Amino acid sequence: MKKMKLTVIVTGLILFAGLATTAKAQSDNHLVNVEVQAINEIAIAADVTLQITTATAGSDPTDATDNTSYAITTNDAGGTTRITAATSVDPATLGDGPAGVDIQVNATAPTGGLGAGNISLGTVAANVVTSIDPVSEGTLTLAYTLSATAETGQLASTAVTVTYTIVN
Amino acid sequence: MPILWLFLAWIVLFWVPDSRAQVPPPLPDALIMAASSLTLSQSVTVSVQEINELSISGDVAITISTASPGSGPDPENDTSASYNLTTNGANKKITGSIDVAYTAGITLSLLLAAPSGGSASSKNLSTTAQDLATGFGLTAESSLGITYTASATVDVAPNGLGETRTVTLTLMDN
Repeated sequence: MKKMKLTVIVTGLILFAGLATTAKAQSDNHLVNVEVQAINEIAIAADVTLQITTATAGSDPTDATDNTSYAITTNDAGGTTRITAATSVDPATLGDGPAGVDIQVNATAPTGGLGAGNISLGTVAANVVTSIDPVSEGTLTLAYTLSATAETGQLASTAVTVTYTIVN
Repeated sequence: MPILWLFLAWIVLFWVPDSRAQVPPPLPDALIMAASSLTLSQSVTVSVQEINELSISGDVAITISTASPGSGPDPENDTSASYNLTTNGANKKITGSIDVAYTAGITLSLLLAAPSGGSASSKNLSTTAQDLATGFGLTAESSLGITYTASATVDVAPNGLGETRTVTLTLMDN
């Protein structure tokens, strides 16, 4: 009988020790997928007004200038990302004379990109910044210049929409 | 001599075998048999071991797809997962880690809803376990919130179907 009791006690101790071992840290896990999609965002800060009002006698009218800025975010790393600009109407058709006007823009390139300098805008999209790396920057200058010749004649206030597009 | 014969005659006529010799051997100590009932006494030992159980519901997919121009991609939150917890121990904590780091520029932070009595703080997950919830115990709760926030810098290129990592939560002593 004593031997039987001893066996029961020992067995109990072994079971207890086993249970105590399993009561330690306990874990579970799951999967977390993070996807980053292509992001290309551009925003123009404000509209601009270009008004030609003066000229030096003997010369064509003096150019008008105005500035705004843009902000850009792109995570494209292809090295071919660029910004194009196009107008809603052809400036060459504006004015009551035969020559029209010239609207130019000079876009400051974000870090790593290349500005194209003064670009005459038209209804066909033109590159204004090229070779853009992944970047997020704001307050980049868009410097506009409106030029007219005497042959432009006169032009009533006309809204021209300039559309900027990030192209990868 | 007649007395001897009388004695033998008495034995033949009146002797009854001793019934006590038929009594079976005694039962084990615990079993006591009464005349018309059986009483069984038994020692019952009850123990409650330390219990620590944690489970997570569901996998998570987070997509980063927007940005404000001039700023980095917008962080994205996900609250679709939850966890269940049971512990009868005191002063516990939950740690969290990922199996492999995400591509440089991707950060995954995790905020757990703290179990009753505990506190929790958001941590950027790494391959090193970090304390997510601490100072709790003696609680059984379910559907506790898991909030992930994934963020990426603008230098992180689009990554197709994304990167999948295993997040492990561990319930342990504080």
